[in-house]
Amino acid sequence: MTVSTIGKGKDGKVVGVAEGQRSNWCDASDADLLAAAAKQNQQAFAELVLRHYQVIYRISWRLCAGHVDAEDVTQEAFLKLWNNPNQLREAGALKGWLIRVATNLVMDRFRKKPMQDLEAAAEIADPAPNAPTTIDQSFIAKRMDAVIAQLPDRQKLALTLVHFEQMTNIAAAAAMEISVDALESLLARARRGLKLMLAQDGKLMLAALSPEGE
Amino acid sequence: MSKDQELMSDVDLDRLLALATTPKLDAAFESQLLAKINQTPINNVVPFPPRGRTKSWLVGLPLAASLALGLWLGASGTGLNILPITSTEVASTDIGGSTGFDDLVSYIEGETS
Repeated sequence: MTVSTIGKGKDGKVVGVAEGQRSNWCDASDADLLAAAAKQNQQAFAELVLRHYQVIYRISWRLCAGHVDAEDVTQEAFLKLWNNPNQLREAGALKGWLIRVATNLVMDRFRKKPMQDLEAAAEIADPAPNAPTTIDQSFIAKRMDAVIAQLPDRQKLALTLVHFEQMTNIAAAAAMEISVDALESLLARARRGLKLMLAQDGKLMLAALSPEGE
Repeated sequence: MSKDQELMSDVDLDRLLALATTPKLDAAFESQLLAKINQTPINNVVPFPPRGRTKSWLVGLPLAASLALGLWLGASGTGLNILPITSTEVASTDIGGSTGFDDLVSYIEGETS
């Protein structure tokens, strides 16, 4: 029997839950899971975590510029939900709520830590200064991560939600608690900023991607 | 050639963005998180007890009764009869012949006419 996820044991401790047991909750809606989590049902909460933690981690990772803090931020966001699930009035707003909490946690961390520490610990190393003679996909990935990391926070978040998380403009604007017009403005500025930053080596990377460039 | 024309197109930017890293958490994260939840004290946020709601019509009832009584007394003319006589008399407000603002100015300036 494969242990697929985590749940509540006989003594109330969190233990592995087999596939059959997990199915109790995997068909439940977010609203049902939240209601159960409010009654301290850890299995229901585990299902909520399973559904959303990858998205929240990806967004935190992007906002933290690949810093290891992204894991802590993700964990903290879910702990906030576990500590008080009642603060969320609508289950439909769960994803947006988690995104906002994670974003605020990232901002708090960046405010508390001196920027030098964060830059020193940043995991996204910009490969541009020491550009290799061959531009491969891993180089392009690192370079793109690095230029995205240089965008202002709100532009970075807007780009992450819409481009990387495939959220609609309406959903992303709701998650950021701004108007759709404001989101579109952030997106336009983010894209222009990226184009400006990639003005030099962007063409080289594109050439490397084209069949003739290989 | 303007600066905008030198920049890459949206299609090209999307091609490069598609190659950016997609971070993934390892499976251990979930178990770590839920283990942490297990250690978290339950119900450390105590909600306020719900406030008892007063029935709004109960508040309005004496006001409506008072209004109805006032209308009835006024309409029937019986209200004047039940009011105390002294309250209908106008109190004397003679304060030494002063007639208002002009006298006040004179008073301040020291005139005692």
